Amino acid sequence: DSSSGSNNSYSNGEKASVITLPQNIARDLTLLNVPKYVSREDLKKQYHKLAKIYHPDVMQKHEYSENQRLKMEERFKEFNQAYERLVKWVGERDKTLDDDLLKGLRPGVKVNRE
Amino acid sequence: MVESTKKKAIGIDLGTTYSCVAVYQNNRVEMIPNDQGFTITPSIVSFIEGGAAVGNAAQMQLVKNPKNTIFDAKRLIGKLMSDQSIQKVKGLLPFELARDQEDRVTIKVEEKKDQPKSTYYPEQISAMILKEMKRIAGIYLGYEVTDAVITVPAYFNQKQRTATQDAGKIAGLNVLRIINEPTAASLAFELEAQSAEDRYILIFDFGGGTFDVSLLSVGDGNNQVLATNGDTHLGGLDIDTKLVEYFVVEFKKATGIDVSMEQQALNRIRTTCEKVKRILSTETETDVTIQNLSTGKDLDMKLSRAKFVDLINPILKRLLPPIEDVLKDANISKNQVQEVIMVGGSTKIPRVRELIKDFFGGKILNHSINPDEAVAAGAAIQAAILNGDQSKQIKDFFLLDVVPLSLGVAISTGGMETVIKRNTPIPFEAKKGFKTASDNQTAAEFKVYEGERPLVKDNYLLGDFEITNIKKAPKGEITFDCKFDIDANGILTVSAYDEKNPHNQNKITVNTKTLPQKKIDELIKQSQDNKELDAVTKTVLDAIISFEYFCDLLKKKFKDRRLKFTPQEKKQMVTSFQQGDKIAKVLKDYGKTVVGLQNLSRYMERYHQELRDLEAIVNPILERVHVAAGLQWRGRKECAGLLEDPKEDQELSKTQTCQHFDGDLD
Repeated sequence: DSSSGSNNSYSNGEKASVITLPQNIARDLTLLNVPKYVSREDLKKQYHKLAKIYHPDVMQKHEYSENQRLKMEERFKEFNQAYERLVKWVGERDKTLDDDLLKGLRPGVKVNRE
Repeated sequence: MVESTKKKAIGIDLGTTYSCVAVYQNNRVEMIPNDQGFTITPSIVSFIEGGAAVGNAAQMQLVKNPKNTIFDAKRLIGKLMSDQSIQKVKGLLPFELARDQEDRVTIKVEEKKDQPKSTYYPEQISAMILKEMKRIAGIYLGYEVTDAVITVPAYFNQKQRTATQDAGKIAGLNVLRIINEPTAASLAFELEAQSAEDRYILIFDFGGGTFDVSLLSVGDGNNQVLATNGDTHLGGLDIDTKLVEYFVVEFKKATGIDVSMEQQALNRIRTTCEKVKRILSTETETDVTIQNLSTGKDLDMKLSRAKFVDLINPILKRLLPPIEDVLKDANISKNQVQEVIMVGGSTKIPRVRELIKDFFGGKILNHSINPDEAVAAGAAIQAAILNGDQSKQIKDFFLLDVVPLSLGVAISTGGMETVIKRNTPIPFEAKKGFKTASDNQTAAEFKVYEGERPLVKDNYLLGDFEITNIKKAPKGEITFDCKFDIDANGILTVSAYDEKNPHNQNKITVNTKTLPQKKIDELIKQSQDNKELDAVTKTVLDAIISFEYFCDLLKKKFKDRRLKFTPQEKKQMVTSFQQGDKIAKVLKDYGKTVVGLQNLSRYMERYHQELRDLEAIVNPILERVHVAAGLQWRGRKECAGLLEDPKEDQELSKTQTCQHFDGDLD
């Protein structure tokens, strides 16, 4: 409760929230290869990049074997699941960060969300 | 440069009121015109002696043969008779609906006079329309087309989608994919825009029978659907119905005559209302006149745009909530939406545009794509993508779609346990655990539902299966792992197994549950058997219909009070149309004997000769009386559309050239 020293504290003693990283979210971030503070737009861009390789429709253009196709579709389903969870998580994370910013906590932290 | 010899796949927009077909070739989308040169074809099938007419020819039968002229099949497909939406429209449709043993909707038509009525499934009616689109595409491309992408409203449920796919199969098509209409529109828009910049766009698709809203993230070839919503029973037809109801009441007030049970009068009002609606998109007031509507009385009144807006207000009110829902589901604010794209014939109504513009704080709406053709154009793009088209423009194009409605399982309380939430990207796989609900339960039933309501009774049942031979145990002790697997086609497979005994499992592919496979195979065979016969029959029927229509036109002109015939002319006119009726009958009988193509050309020669002979007598007379009345006689050209109101003769040249752009299309 000390008011001195910490970067993340404010004069009234309130501390900035800690962004927790649940295990499955950590796994999802690794799977899609994006950092913890990825913006919603960058997350989408990365997802699109992966979709361009793994989406079943795109595969029509390449000469993959049936087996390869199935494997890639399975992989894409995993990306979709991870993406769904991450979109939600990023939304909650940003809300927490927004609240902190509004309260004047976290000076110097800027999250690019556009 | 050379083009691949691979056969093209086509895109078909199977609309409620109009259908449209397109192909992607020579690095662009080409809209395919029908025999009359229009890119939109009425989604109407009419059963007349000797066969079924489709499209423009069938539209001409709407007033003449209402009981056997089927429209609106799209709003009947994949539905049960007991569905609320069907119960509501049942009495309003001029043709007869019935149910089969499984409560599925069927349509009764009289194929031959004095014989029991035949039964058709909506799938078969849609198949006839698809077959017509396939035929005109075949003529355009010069070979028989088999591969197609067909569009459906985004808010169609699994059953309606499968039923549409079955309709495609019955029509002899290999359906590459069923895609959502607003998504297709987005593809067409993005192909035009060719923008690398990431944007949020909203597609507002308000057509003849359905209303869809989709929010997408687009740019650099990506078309990702974020959320979709809508109403599968809201469109231009409902606007027409509101107008019809109003005029029935007004007519009764003015004349004391109630036409609410007179099918023919109702259809005449409906046809007029559709035109009134279109006129009010550009004019602020119009006259509404139908001569001799019932027992010698005319409907004659004015309708202002303000009154029109007032009448359709209940419909307008239903347009905004789906927009709010997609924004909420996608977690996007309305200011973040960069483009609002208007698709579907009903977006031509000025009040609709104002409403949406106001909602988005005065944002300029995008009308850059043809609202009638965009959906078919997008379907053609997706067809090319799935066909492996390598052309530069669409090479990096692709579509990420979502599940439109939540999917889940019924639990013992009657509640819905959602396994895949709506707007989840596909393909997708999700698992959920379930347990036994009572002691010593030996069988577990999995009922799969689709919908947003908390109780399953308010959602759609997609299918069910059972796991039996469960070991006796106290309730809750036996657990099941249930897996929902949805592929890129949106086809759902549900499986479950007993965790204590993994061999004890069962699964279903949910969307085979509309018509039984045996029935579909039977219908496919039936449809193929008639292939050659169909081509001949179609030409013969079209000839008979247009001949009859010309005779009808003569009768109408004869009754038109503005045209003053001399007694001599009157006599000649009466003789002509009596003679015309006789010839029509001869053509009909003769038509039945036409079997081969050589036979057919002789038949057509005869038809043209008869028509010319008739014209030789009536044209000079009609020319004279029209000029005397300050009007113009346009001869057989006046048969090109349905003419209800002689006043519209002046309007005709306008409506004819505009027909191309004026249709309501989904």
